[in-house]
Amino acid sequence: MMRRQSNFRLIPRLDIKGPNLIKGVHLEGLRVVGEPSTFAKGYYQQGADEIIFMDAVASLYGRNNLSQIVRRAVEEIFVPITVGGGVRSISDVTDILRAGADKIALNTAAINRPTLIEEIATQFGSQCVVLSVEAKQVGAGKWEALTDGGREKSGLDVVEWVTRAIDLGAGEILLTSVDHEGTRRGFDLPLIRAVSAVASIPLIASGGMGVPEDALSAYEAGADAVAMARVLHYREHSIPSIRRLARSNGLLVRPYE
Amino acid sequence: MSSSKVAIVDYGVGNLLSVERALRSSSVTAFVSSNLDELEDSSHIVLPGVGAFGRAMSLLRERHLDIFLKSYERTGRPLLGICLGMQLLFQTSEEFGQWEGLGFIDGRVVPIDGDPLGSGEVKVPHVGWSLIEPQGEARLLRSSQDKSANARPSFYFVHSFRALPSETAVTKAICRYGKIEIPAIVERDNVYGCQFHPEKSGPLGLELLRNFCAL
Repeated sequence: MMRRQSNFRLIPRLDIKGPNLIKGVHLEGLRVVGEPSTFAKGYYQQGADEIIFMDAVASLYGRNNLSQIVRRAVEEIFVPITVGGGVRSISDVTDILRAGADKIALNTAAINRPTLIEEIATQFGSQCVVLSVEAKQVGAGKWEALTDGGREKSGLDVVEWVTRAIDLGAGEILLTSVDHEGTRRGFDLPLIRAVSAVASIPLIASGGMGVPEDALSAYEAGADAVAMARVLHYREHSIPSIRRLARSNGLLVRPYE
Repeated sequence: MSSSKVAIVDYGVGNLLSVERALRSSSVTAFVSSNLDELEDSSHIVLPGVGAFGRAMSLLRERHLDIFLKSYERTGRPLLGICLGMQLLFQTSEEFGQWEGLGFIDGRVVPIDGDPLGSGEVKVPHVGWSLIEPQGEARLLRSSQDKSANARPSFYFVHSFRALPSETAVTKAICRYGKIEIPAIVERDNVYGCQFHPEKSGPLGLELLRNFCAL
């Protein structure tokens, strides 16, 4: 198995609607799971390498309520935090970073105005710009980038869009398969392979994790990290059990007991 | 440690609140300030930093914080630089030009020059959790060195440049990144630096900060 230089990361992803942690299937049919900061703190204590908060409906209403949730969460979480959903401007970025986040995930606003990536990277550094891509398969080996929480088509080819975003200064990619999201049938491996082939920056695979073995497949397909939601929120598997499996299969992961 | 009063230097860059929260979670008295009198009234100083070396030095100079830090250092009180803050402790940097640093530790700051695209395996910036290897006795790592399970602890790194100390003895831990050895912890008398972010490195990072505050 190939080895990479940084540790493979295990990242809980918390999709937020209003004050609640929610979970859906294919980014739709959202159900309330619980209170976000309670879950986030639990994941930190279990050894999460990072945590992602996504405002699932922010793009629809053009506003952001995440600052408050982030402000509470960072009082007790001491690993990197990525925040996305409804981030539109430099001033949104400033607010969210001030609230304690380390990285910003951009999707709809970057597709509407790609130079926003460059502006944020120049001011805050590439390391804080995560390009969030919601990919829907539209043919053999072809995926289209969706916006607005997977509701709208952009007409952009995922591989072309990722290539352009890297040129503009994106520092990391959060790649969500809309087809696999919430289904627990494993990651979309051809999608991960297609994107990792053009990605010179770290790639987080998201959407479809059902069993710990799926993390190994994502790694082999080229992912540097996996984002996990349902599988953790419903306690089907735990971060320590996924970490143990990864390590026993020779993946470099952060030692944590 | 209960008598420690830790000042975090605010010079307009970086996520200062994370450092403050991390210290407070360990019941350390900590505050963020750019006021010279307030900073002087402290037992320890933390110099955080994110961004570019040249800009950081100009911001320190504009606020007369460079002169302040030099006189603080001479009092023998402990001083910790984090990430860019650690790089600022050195004499010079080659980050987009030639810049003069605080000069507490002999050496310079250079790009991570390790075959970034040749092998496809070493990406710059270096972002993520990496193992560090202690070199000799690092005061900042005290208890993590004792536990065998944590003999090679991981910390969270985000950087494109690395320090190159003139004397190898100041390097108390390294991180191997491809074929490069990145100084992860440096120490010279009362001056300490870590290239990674202890405030984002979970329980081991918090422990390192507590170790600093107990010096």
